[in-house]
Amino acid sequence: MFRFRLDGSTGVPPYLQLVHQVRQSLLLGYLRAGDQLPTVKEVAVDLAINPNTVVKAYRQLEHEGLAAGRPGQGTFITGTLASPSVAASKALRVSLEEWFRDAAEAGLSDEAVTALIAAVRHDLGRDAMEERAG
Amino acid sequence: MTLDTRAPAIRANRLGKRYGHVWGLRDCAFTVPAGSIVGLVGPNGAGKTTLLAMTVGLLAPTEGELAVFGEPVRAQTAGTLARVSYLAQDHPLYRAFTVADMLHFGRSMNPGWDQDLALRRMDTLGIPLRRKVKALSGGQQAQVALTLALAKRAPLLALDEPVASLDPIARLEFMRDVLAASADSGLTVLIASHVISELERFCDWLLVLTGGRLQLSGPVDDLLAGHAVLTVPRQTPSSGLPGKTISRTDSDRHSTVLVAADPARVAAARQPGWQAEPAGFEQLVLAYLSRPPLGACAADPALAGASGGRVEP
Amino acid sequence: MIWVTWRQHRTQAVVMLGLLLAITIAAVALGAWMRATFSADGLGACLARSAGAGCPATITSFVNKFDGAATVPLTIVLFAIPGYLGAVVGAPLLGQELERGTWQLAWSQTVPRTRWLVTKLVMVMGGLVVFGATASAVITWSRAPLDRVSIRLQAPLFNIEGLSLTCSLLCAFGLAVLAGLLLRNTIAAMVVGYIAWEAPTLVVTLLSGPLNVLTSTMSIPCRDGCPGASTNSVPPVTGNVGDLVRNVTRDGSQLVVTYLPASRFWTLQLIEGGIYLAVAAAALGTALWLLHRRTT
Repeated sequence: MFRFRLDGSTGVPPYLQLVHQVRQSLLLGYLRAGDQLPTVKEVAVDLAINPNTVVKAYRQLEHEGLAAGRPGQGTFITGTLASPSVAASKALRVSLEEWFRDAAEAGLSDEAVTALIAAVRHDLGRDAMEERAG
Repeated sequence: MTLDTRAPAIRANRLGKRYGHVWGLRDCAFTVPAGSIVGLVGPNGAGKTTLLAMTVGLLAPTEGELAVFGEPVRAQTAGTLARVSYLAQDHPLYRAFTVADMLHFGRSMNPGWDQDLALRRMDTLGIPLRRKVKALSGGQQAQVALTLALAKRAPLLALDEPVASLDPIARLEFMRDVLAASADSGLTVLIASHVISELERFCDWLLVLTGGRLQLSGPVDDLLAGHAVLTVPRQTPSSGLPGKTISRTDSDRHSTVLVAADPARVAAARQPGWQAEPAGFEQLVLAYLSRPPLGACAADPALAGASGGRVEP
Repeated sequence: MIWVTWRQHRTQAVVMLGLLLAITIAAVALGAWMRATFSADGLGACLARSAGAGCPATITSFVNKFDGAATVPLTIVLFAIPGYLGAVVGAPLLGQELERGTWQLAWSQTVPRTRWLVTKLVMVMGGLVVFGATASAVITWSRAPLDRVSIRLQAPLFNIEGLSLTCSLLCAFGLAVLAGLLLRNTIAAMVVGYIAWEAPTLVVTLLSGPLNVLTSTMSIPCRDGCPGASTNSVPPVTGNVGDLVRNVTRDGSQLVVTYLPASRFWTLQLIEGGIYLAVAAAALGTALWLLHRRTT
């Protein structure tokens, strides 16, 4: 049975962590279409969290088309996540290498690079949330 | 027992309780939907035990109304007592009784008692029926007390600081059982605690009490969405901030402010140089706990200490 | 609720049963011995003939024989019991629940607290009544021969026979229950309950003693000066063996005797019992009212 994990220190809401773990497992091939996810009760007891949080996560997965609930049976994986195409990955890799060279020329240390990446990711994520809410 | 399970689990209106000259609870109004797990947070002496005792029917309010599943609460009547299970602080049990005796006690005092459930739980937990309560560990005693509360089969479970005296493993086991019961039967749970971090994972509804007054109430998701933490330049006046300022920390050049404002308002009011982040659960609760309570009766630490979270029978 | 009361008072019930058994065994043994001596000494016939006037020496020796080693311990135990037993049984009923916090458990089940208390009181008092009545009856039976030549109207006999023991027990119980509710501490309630019980006991003692209630007066002509006639004469100056003589004064050739007739025994028992029961009812009524009031 698929087991979830919860990391209290990341600041990411629990239900999102559950959603991410399913997405991650789909990407890595640990979860396949037709697999059954544990029941709401099983997850709530396992992680010692509110059952409604699990319900919310499963609803989000349904909304994204990744899972579907069958009444009386449970929640099952229905979709897959498209892995990025090989060509797209290659193009991204090239532009990333170029960006790293630019950063080194500008005098950024490794630490500053990591901080910059985190800050941009954070800002983009926040802006997306605000957009959704607004 | 006729009760309307679509009615809110608890509805309070201008609820208050006076002990002599001191108001333990004043002007409380809130509505909690059935099936939620409610966190009742506040420092010791804030009135959590008083509110719980009134919900259970152990104490009658001095003013205001209280209804559980649509039925008004009348203290010390069988109807009221049957609707709520209560687990008091320090899980009191009859220490000279055996575990079997305690179950018999529950059966004897409650018409709706589920003996099968009680026996199954004792079996699952590996607690021998013939052992005396005083010979059980703290965690086992808490589990026996929880069994008594769950086997009563009431639709609302009120827990007063249930895990305060337990070690971390026992704590987790205890809360797991409560969550399982909630998932199984749609049980509404009201947990009073002053350990905020634990409530975050369990609760989807929140009540914050200080000095006998309700500072905040509502579903956790909505509350978190309705607040933001802004990092602004030091000289920004509070009037220039969106929504209502809940707490503000000033440093040399900047201030960190928790405001009650939804993301749209924050986005609209946002200035360059401002940082806006969603509020975290613990941050939010702490901010409301540190505010001076609304109204005339400001929290007097001496009085709060004297009543110390214990309620007079 | 009935099972719960039984289970919570099980130890007390067992102890009281044991006590009762011990008292019964001692009393039966004593009673048999006494009856044997009574008939051997021919006291029955003597009393029938002359109401004790004809055999003062036999009476005195009989009384001394049994009032000494045999009956004194038993009598003392039974004299002291009501206060202690009542306090010990009554104090934890509410006192321990409040002290240990188990009231939160007991009164949040589906039984309202007033019904909880009433059920407990009825059952426990029922047990106390059975204990008291049986103990009194057994002792009274046991002492019957001795009582024919004793004065039953004063302590300690007055407090053991009749209703007195039972009513006194209920009084101590009621006061201790109330003390438990007010003090929320079992030991303190036992002590305070016992001390409080001394008050009605004092009143009752005064009424039947120095206050000279219900006494009668008679004048006895005394031709030869009635030597040795005093309040302690055996048999009593009034001529009736069970009378309690309060005062003897000489008035010319007459003896004026103030005394409590033996026949007043039950009247006095009812009065004393009534006082104890009234105090018990007041104490328990207050406890019930306070318990009810604290929810409103």
